[in-house]
Amino acid sequence: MAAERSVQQDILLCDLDAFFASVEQRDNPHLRGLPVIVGGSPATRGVVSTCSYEARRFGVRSAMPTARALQLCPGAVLLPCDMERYRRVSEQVFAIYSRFTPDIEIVSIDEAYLGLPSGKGLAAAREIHRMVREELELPLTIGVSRNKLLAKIASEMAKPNRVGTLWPEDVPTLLWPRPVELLPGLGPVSVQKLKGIGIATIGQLAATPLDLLQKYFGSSALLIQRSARGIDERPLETVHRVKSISEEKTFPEDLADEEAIQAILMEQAESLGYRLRARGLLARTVTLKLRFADFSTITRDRTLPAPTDSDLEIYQTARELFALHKGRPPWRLVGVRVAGLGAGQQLALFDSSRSARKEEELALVRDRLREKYGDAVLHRARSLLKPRRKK
Amino acid sequence: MSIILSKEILSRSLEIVEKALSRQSPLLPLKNIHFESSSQSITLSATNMELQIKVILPYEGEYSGKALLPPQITEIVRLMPSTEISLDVDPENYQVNLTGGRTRYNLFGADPADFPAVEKLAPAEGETMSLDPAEFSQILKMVIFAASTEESRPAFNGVLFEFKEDRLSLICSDTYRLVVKNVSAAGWNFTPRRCLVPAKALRELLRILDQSEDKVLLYTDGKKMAFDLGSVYFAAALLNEKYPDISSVIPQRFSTRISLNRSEMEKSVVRAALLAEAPNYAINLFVGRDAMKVRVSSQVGRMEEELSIEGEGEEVDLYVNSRFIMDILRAAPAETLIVEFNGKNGPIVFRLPEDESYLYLVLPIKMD
Repeated sequence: MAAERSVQQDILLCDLDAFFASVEQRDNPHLRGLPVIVGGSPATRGVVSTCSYEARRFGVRSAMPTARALQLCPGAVLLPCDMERYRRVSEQVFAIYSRFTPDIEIVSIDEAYLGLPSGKGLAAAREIHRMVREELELPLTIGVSRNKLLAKIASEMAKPNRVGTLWPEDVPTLLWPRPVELLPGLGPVSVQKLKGIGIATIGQLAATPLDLLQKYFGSSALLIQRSARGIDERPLETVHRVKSISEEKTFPEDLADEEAIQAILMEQAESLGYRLRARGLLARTVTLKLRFADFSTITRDRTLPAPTDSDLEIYQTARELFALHKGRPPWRLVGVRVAGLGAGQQLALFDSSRSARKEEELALVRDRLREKYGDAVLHRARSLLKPRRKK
Repeated sequence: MSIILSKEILSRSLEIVEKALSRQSPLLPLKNIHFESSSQSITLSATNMELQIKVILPYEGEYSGKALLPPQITEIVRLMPSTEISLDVDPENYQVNLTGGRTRYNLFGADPADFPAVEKLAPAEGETMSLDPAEFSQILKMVIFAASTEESRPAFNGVLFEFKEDRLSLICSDTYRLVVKNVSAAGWNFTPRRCLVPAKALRELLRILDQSEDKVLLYTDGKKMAFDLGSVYFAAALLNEKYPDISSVIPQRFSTRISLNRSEMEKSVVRAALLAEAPNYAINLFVGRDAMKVRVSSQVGRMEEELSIEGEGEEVDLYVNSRFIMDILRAAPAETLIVEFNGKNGPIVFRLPEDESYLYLVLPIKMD
């Protein structure tokens, strides 16, 4: 629906704070107030998956080796990752979101973008925040704005456990004085480059001429400048629209370690598997994307014997593709995409029953759109053929 | 005067009758068992409007009387310590005394006047079908599993008995699959009609059939379907629902046809189903000329195995609900099965070799 994009929407970024650790603290009251680390054991060179805010005070961060985290915070309680349970809780949270809108882009197990009618975003955010606190007893940060970028920054500024806004009109006063590090998508290398040319705040970046940025950042210069100006036109990748789902990662420095690449592929496969399952979809093809040190990029795909939503199957396919097409190290970017998405549908006999079910589904969608945009929004195509009466 | 009855016979009779009790009903007659004794027989009956069951026990005696017995009667009789039970009913106040060994019950029965009478239907001449109970049980089991257990569309909670002049077609579907079984015999001459019998009632009937050796007489008055086993009379109220026309959904052609060994396929599908997941429990069948691959891929893992088959026609690669396949593999009374495919999204038809009276049709899962 092309028209959908032009409809002004409020965008919410809902991010569950220290999600895995919060679930553990909620379900085990004796852990409340204690530094909690959820992650792999130091004996197996595990890493921190999530840590509670109490642990963060000691300098513990996600993705840090657990051994290092325990050095920083010797008193921390270390728990294994109970993914099944976190997934169930995540589904409960997402079910609350879906009471407010059908337009949900699932980013990960603890993060989602929501689209709401213009002007309704802030009230909905406060209500969602209250429901998640009261019904599920979980801390949640919501950033509210009019695009995904600003909603994301708003949530970063509001953290933890709050609702924050960053409207486009507030960009000059609220965003521009802040350091460039706050911009999502700018890695440490880019930040260093910017500081090297004397750009420290987002405002300075927004005011820098494009041709100057292009010297340093090439084709991504425009994107960086637009980000600094708070402009972002990416649509929500909602369930209805999605044709493929992808994950990719550009390394801060080119990587030559095959095992490290495999670990990243695993992470990406897990995220893709989760996003497929959350949408009830199965994927038919897996595509590997690889960029080499000289910026040459290849994509290679494989059709699976059977549609899947399995992390492991996506990973194994991506790894096999990597083994076949890895070329010469080092690598600059690796990504995995799943496509050929479908949701196995049991076919039914008797036309009447099939159309009856279609009708039910249609009714459900209609209801949700009505709730969202009011009665006038939706008519069957046939009803447009009727001659309209002029007033 | 008391009636003396064998505990075993009385207990079995009560267990049959109580299937028609409506325990949750606020109406006393619907949750009590009607007891009546005459000089030749004892009758126990129950009805919940959907189902009527009457058991007739031959008994010679002078005593006659009736009462409504509370539903606990079945358990009371089952737990009596003796092999014979003495029973008498006070016609004044419907109190029932039960004695067995050194145990005595005095039950407060109720007035049977309001009990909706369970009268046998009177079939018209030539409109009665007589079947061997084991054979009828086998036929029902081949059909009834396809009934829907969801209650959103009541027509699919029933088995359609379609009487044609010289045969009876049993039709059952939950819209994802369909079974058709034709039964015929010389000498039948029915008025064509369609009767939709609740599958729930037929499941109860099956339990009775399996214990019976008497011939089953089957007849209908258009509102109820009666199954008369002599000592047990069982009548089910017909569902008043429209049943769709099935003739258009049964394909006249096929693009692939194979024959396979039923028990090998069953074992294979059972193994595959261990990994198949809700909601569709999908497994993949890849059908070639002389082999069929059974595959599954899910969160838990992957599985693949190959079965020898004899095939003709095109290769086909499709997905199907493993439970739907298991149902037919368990119910089919033959070791070799013929399976016809119609492309990856067309119906799959299972048939018995050299037996045109039966077919099972299942629709695949569409994956794109």
